[in-house]
Amino acid sequence: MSSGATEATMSARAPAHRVSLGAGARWLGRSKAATFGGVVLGTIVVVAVLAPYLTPHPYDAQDFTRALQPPLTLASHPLGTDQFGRDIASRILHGARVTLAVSVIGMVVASVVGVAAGLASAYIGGAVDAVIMRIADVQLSFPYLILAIAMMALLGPSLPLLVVVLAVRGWVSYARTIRGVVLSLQQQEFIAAAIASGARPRRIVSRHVLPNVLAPIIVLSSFELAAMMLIEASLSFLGLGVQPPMPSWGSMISQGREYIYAAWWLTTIPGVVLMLAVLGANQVGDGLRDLLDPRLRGARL
Amino acid sequence: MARFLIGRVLQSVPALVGVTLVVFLLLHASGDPADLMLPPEATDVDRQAFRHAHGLDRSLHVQYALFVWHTMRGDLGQSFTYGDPALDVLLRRLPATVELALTSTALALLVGVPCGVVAAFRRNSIADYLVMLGASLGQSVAGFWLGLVLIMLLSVQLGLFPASGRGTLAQLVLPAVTLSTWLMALLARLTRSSMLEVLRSDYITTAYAKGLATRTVVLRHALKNALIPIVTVLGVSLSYQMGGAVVVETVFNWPGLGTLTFDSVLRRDYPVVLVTVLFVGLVFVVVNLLIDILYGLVDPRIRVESRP
Repeated sequence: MSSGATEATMSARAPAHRVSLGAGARWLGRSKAATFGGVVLGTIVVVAVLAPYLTPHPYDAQDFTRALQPPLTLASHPLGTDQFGRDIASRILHGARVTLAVSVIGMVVASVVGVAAGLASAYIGGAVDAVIMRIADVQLSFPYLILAIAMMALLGPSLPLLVVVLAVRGWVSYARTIRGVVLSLQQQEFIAAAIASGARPRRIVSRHVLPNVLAPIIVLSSFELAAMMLIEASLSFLGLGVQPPMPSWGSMISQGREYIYAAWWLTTIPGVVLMLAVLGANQVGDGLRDLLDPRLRGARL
Repeated sequence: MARFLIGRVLQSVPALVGVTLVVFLLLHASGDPADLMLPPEATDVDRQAFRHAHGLDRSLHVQYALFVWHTMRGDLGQSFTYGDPALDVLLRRLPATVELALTSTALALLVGVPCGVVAAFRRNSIADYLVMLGASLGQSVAGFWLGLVLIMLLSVQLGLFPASGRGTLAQLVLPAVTLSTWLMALLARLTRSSMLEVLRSDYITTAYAKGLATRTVVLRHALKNALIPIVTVLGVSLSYQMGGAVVVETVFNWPGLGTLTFDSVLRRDYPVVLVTVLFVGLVFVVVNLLIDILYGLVDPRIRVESRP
């Protein structure tokens, strides 16, 4: 009992950044860029979830009598149609579903694997640490996109593989960040106090370590989400990501490329939406970083 | 210093072995090049002959061991598609990529760093907001899309620059601008935050107190110290640039390493894929080594620490 009390007082002094939801929202509200990012990203998420109810047409419905209609000419196709007469607006909304699903799952897988690897690296140390960090080094010493292209092209594009490829990119940043934070935490007095008061390793991790690594994980996740949306689009643009007839912003841009002289909207519209989504996630990341950990300000690469 | 350098080079060997091994395994997991390289009417005897000629009928570890052995002796195999030595195929494409990479990096430095300095020095001014807005957009835009938009506006509409190919200076403009955007945005952001940190420090106050001109303080005292993180980032950014080059080169039909890598992966041209991967890995190692040396020149503290 007394050891629990000691631990509680020590953890009150811990530098964990506990921010209440209301205060956090107010703070983010003051930052115009973060508000903008949150609104844009939130809108895209809501629209993606509701896509089947919002879209006037199925994403693969072809109508050659109405092919290549510019935006704002037909009431039934507000954003125009592509070379097969498919509704651009419907394809953008369904593309948002695919992009978000793949990027979010990729990010979650990357964070779980990365956090586990980082914790293992920092706690077990020795050979485990050396092996994990060496693998991370090997991966960082090579252009990721070339590796992603090789994986997708050689193993055959599919959605599960796409998630794996995205997770391969992300785990390194999580692992290195977590390892760094945990190693510096181990020097902190409140951890020593918790150990001295008889807390089990499990309790130390869940009560003292995780709350402190949560801030960097959340911040990192917004930036990773942005990066993964860009990579998914790049791979789909090269024909190695999401496969037709399923729409993706990247493959829509690629299809529009053949009509670049005649139909500007085929490439322009999905590109603008992609940029807004990535910008939104990056701005939210910037805002959250300043909110949760002012020491990290300007740390984004 | 020599010992430090040799140590750094040796440290990179596992990385190169790891990367080539992964690519090697991926290549072999992906199907038989005989199916892709030979015409559909080829007989089984033809296939066997092709596989034997390229050593593909041996077991995997023998093939990889042979690859390492031949590589160390400078023999990197023959391209399946071109029939030439794989290294020659790579060297033919190299100048185009070097040209594009150097131009875009120079462009990014020349625009990004001054923008960051101005944004930091005139903090919260309109210039600062514009730079930060531009940098946020630059980091969020997909390179391939930006390339297509530039083609639509400057090439198709205004006819200012050619949309593809290589040879003239005009043809270099659009790919270089496209490829430089991401790094330019990163450098502007980084220079700004780095400068803001430096401008707060005591020796800047001292420099002002001595009555030095603002210009001297900013350029001689502040920027020189703010450059340290920028030098580090240049090394890291190289791998992004090389990855981005694949996409940007594809958009502009630029005959460089990016398009070569992409085409060779699709064609299962094993020797060319392996030689490009090895080459890109090596370049990365060498550049980061140079960055470390440069780092020592910029920051004397590091030079002292690395001395045995």
